[in-house]
Amino acid sequence: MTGRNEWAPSPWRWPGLLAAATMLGLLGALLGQHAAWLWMSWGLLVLPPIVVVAAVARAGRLARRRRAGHRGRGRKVEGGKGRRRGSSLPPAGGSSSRIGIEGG
Amino acid sequence: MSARAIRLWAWTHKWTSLVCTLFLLMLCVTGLPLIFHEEIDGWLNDDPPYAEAGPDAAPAPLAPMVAQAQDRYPAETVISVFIDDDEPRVLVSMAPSWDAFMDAPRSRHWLAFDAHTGALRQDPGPGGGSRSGFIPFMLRLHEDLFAGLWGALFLGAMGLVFLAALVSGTVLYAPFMRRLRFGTIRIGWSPRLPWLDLHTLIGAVALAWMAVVGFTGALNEISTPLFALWQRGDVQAIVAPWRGQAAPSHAEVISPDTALRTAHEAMPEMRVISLVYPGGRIGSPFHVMAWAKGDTPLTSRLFSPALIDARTGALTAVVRMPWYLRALEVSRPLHFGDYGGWPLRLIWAALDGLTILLLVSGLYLWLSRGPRAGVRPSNAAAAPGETAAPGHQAAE
Repeated sequence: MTGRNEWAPSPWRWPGLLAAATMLGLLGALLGQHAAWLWMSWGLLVLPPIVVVAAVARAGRLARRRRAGHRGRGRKVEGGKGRRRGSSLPPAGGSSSRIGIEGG
Repeated sequence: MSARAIRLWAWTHKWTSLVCTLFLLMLCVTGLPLIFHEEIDGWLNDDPPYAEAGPDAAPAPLAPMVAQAQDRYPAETVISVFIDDDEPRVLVSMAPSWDAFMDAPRSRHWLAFDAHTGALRQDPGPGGGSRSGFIPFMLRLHEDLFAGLWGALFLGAMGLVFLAALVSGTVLYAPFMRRLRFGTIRIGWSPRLPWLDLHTLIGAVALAWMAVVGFTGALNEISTPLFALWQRGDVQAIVAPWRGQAAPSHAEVISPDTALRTAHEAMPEMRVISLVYPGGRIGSPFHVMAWAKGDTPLTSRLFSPALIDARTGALTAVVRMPWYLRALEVSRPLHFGDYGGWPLRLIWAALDGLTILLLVSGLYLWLSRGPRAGVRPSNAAAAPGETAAPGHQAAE
């Protein structure tokens, strides 16, 4: 394991939180006796779809930014902020071609 | 995780997913309209409105409704009386006989009465009513593939295979995501990569919901054998003193209003919703079985039966449901998503849509795999965090 991985946040942090929120949402409306439980349930259970929509929207935005960079209008974007954010990086740190990530 | 372990889990994920994907897709697609079955039924329903009645209006007696049903079908047997708690209606179910009903449950038909006036509202006749139409078609496909108990058991097994796919996918998540930020979807590098990331993301964010709905669905599919088990155990023990006696004839069976009154007295804090006449598969040949439920969000899912002597109308017993049937009852709303109003149903539909996307993306990743898809153990061992979707790559 590299030093970077030792200090990286656990990959389970967000999925774990979302799973806990989902379970709380599922049981809240079932066991709760008041409308507040319903609102809490709706608020927690809607998180997974929102996360997926937000991730797709973010990926689309970064891809557009990257394409704009390729056209020569956004060198700063290509090499700067977008690159730090991760989604403009080559797949999995550039090792995909070595392990056949794209499936031929 | 060692390269060998990753390969093993990837193999498990690939094959459990492949085995259940098409059936799960069918279940998700047919489940979508079932989430909104009340609304769809409402749109397709052209029944006349119910009679106006105040909130404290007394319900009409049940006996005239049952008598009217019997008059219309004198050669048939009354199976049950259902007192709807969603609409002011009473459904009287009939079948050619109990034996015919047990051999072919679909031989049952119903007559609908207005609960306030007792007037007959609908009589679709044998072969009509709830067995036809869009929602019943979707329901049967979803429940048992039109194959009865064996179809239900098969779909239950597919639900368990789906759970195995979720577990194996979860195990593979950490090695795959070690070097990727949560929620990353890489667009523009290859056609497969966004689908791979989307598949992983949906699996991670909707894991708990899919596991709960998959498990409760599998549990629902085995409800028939579970109820049969209970009937052969607890119920048979209660009716043992009556064994050897002649079952009451139809004329000897007490009025449904008497049975309802006895049930109310036995379970005063509960609402009686159905009376099953003597002779049923779940019940006794000597008793009317009254089913009641509570009125809180949780207890409204927990049904309790009472056995009422069919000749005398006396209470024989309020039967305690075993834990596995209680678990089944609690699991039902968690599968249907019908316990939190229309916003919850909309969220249920969105999560169902995500599951469809998960299945379609997984299928696409498998179908679009190429000759270079294999991963050498050395690579996987050297950089497990960089093996993209081991379930779709490493094991191929």
